[in-house]
Amino acid sequence: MIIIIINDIKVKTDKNEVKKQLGYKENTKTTPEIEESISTLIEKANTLIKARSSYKILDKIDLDEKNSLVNLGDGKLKFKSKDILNLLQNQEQVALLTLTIGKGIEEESLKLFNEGQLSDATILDAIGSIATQEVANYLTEIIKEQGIEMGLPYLTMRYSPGYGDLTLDIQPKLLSILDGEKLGIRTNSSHLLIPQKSITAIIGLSDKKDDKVGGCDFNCKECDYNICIYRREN
Amino acid sequence: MSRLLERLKEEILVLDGAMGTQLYKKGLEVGDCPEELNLTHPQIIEEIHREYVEAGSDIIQTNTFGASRIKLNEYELGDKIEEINKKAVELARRAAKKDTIVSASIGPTGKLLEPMGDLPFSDALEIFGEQAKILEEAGADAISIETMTDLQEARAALIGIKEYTSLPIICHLTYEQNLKTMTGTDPLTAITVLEGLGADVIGANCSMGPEGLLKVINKMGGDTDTYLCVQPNAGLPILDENNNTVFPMEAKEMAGYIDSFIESGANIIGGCCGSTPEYISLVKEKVKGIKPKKRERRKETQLASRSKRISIADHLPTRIIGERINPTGRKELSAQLKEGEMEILAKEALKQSEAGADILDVNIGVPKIDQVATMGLALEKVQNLVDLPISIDTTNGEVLEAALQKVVGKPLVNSVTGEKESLERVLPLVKKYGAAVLGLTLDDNGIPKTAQGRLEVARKIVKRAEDLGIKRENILIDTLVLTASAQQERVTHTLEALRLIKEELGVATVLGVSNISFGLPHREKINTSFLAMAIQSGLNAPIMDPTIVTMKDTVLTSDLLLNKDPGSKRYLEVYGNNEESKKSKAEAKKEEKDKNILERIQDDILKGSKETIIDKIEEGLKEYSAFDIINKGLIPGIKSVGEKYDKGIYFLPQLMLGAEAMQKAFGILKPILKEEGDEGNLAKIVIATVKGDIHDIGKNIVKVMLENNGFEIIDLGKDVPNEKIISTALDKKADIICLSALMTTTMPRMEEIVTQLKEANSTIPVMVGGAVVTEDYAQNIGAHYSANAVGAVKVARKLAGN
Repeated sequence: MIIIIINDIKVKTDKNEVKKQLGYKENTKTTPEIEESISTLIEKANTLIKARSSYKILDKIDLDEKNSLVNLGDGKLKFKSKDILNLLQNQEQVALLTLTIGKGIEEESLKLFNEGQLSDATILDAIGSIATQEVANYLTEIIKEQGIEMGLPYLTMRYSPGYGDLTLDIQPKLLSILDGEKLGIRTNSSHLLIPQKSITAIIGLSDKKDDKVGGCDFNCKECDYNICIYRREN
Repeated sequence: MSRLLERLKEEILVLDGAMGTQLYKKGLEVGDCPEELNLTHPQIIEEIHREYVEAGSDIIQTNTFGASRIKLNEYELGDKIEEINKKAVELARRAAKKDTIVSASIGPTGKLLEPMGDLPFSDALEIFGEQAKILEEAGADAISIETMTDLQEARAALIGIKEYTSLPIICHLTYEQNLKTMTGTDPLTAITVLEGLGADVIGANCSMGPEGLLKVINKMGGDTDTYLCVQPNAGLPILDENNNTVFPMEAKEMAGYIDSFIESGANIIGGCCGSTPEYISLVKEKVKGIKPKKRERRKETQLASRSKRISIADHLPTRIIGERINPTGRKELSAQLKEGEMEILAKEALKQSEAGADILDVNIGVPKIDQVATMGLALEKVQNLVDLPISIDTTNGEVLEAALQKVVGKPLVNSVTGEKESLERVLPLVKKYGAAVLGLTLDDNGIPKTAQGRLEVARKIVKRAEDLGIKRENILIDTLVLTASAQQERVTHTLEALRLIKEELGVATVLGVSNISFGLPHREKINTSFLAMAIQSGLNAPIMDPTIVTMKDTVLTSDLLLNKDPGSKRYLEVYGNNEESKKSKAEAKKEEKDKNILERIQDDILKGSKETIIDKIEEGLKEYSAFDIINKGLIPGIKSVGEKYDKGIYFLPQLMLGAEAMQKAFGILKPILKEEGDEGNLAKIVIATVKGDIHDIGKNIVKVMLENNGFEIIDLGKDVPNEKIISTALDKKADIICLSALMTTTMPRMEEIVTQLKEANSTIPVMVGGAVVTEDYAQNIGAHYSANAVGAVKVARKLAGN
């Protein structure tokens, strides 16, 4: 399978999601000033976001249960993780993906912070997080469509390094498989993604529904995954 | 009438199941272009069709889902578009019985349409039209638009197919777990838009199970009498120990849903991904001899955006059409539109939406500009910012058509008149693009003087529209407001015409209210009275400025008094519980005056009023020392901001607004403090994000809050080595070290720092926080934890012994 690179993804940031990200509950009221700030900043964010992504579907999954070893695409990506072992147990193929919204938002947010525009800086950062998730959802949908075409319509949740026991140190390898360089996504010495508003992830594709690994619907309230970095208290 | 629509009157029809699944089962690789199989493996495609026909499918769908030019081009098969589509119809026809209906499948282009993506609407029209035309010529009985996720693409498909063929259309959208399409359209909004465009059957398929789909069909069934089609997901068959194909649990369960689908009003039932001929025969058995449920249609005027629909009817609240996006008499807006700038327009859209507009009128009528381009930009802007339905305000046919392509949803066309030329220009476009239209009661002879005369023009407009196939509920009538200063005696004619038209034609009504007061002083007073009178006379949707409070209030109170606001719900929402709004401005001012300046400074922090705080600090300095202002004004202020945050009354943006106001105040007070000889700092804190970690917005928020609470902060930034943090803390004699880490991989630096401090015999306490850090972890390594910035201030205060 070839790498699919998608450039210039249009992002539509949902204002309500941004408010949730900032901690607002469904029925809490904000002030007209804050409503306006959020709307204006979403506008601004649209000019700062440069969303790019790539994914690749590998058809070979080797799982070594005894040693918790996962081997994807015939040695393309090898690592240890019980969680991924569980995730991919009944999966036919596996999609690797990465995406970013670019560094525009984080730079602007920092600039605002340094200028004393603290509220705007925080709001813009939250918008960036939501936009990143939107791009991830969009990409997942594309992978799902391809899955359907391949007769593998069931997707597992999007599992990212940093969740559970999947360590960050596979990110450099993941990025080299996915041509991260071309998208402008890199890692630092502790394997964190640069730009910050970027994601790498693994999704299993199957022809059977597997309730155990159903997709994450961001229903954080019901979820036990306390250390999930995308956890939202709402 | 087509065979499909004829049979739907009396029967529940059975559709076929999945094609892809069957191909897969027959051992075909579905990695390449599945439609090419029509040419390379025709016998297999025909066989699958035949299996469905024999299982009981009344309708079979051709293998042409991805056979549009744009999709075929991806496999360099674009030049075979005719061959592939024609062959597909031929194969289905060969397998069909005499009365089997062959419906040709058309799927999404795989590209996103403008404004979300970059495929122009007009290109999409051509692409769908081209494929549909080939399919009709090849002898298809109907078209199935399948698995659309973007309402705008579904619109393009419907319009394109209608333009090029006369086949009946089944239009399916795909819904997700939240009962919306991927791009945010709910089933009721979809109904409004697709019905407007003339879909003969509206369908739903989805990635969720039958239970979710049932909810979708239920909603639709209760809302419309248009035929409904449902294609649930069947799951894939599994092999039992004897290698026989059996249905998994899900499929059996699903058969149990068929009765409910029928009960909800489904007219066509089929299967989506994973369904098989065996399943179809189950469906056939269930629907045998059962008549489709009779459903009622709501005769309401409806408009829609991508994600929201608005119903206009006498028993519903008055709907406000916001009038402020209009350059007439507004120099700055005109100047911006001339330059293609949309800043003021964007503000007007947001302001009106937040003030309670239900529909936004968009008028970009500046002379000597490229109106097509400007309208395009304006609509893109407005639709990106607000989710309200649009009223397209133009008299230019070319601009109107361009706008109708740009608007996602079902817009109002403002307007048509009874003039011959206008009727001929506007109405066909309204029909083609499935919009609603606003008719003005004037014709080639001008505005009739009497109410009766205006009724006659309204009759003519309604008749002409209905002759073209535009439904009565998609026509709104404006009886035209003349200015009271010029024609006082005719004001009542407008109102009388409203009553007459409502009575005889039963259409929704609109008035541009503020015309009434032109040329008179204190226009608002006249406008509000007239608005109340008009609502009582049957006005459903005033075109007005919702940002004028008295106008909005007149709508709210009139609706309450005319029983259009059940339980006074909307009125109470605005005026019932909100203590603050009960106080008049004068009262608030008086209270403000009575307060001590320190209390007023506190209030400004609480409200985050960074503009006014500087003046108040200056005023405070006349009476108090900088030290007192900080400790008795600012700090109590930011403390109550923190309390509100803790209680969930305030959220991060308000916390930060308070902090901004604090920083402004500190900007003035810090130098004076130095003069007073007391810097008033509680304690000295070294703060840093640990080595390897580059996320520092959280740390910055904590830093600002600590600073604002009177701590002296030394910020070392992000990605800071342990040694530097420790040496700085020791050199500067810090009272506290505050560390942030976001990832599990960088968290261990915290423990190392605590250990290294101990080894250096230092007793400086360490505070930690960050996404993955927990209270347990902090305790384990011997550090102090806080969950957020407000918590950090509390911990720091404790550690500083304050």
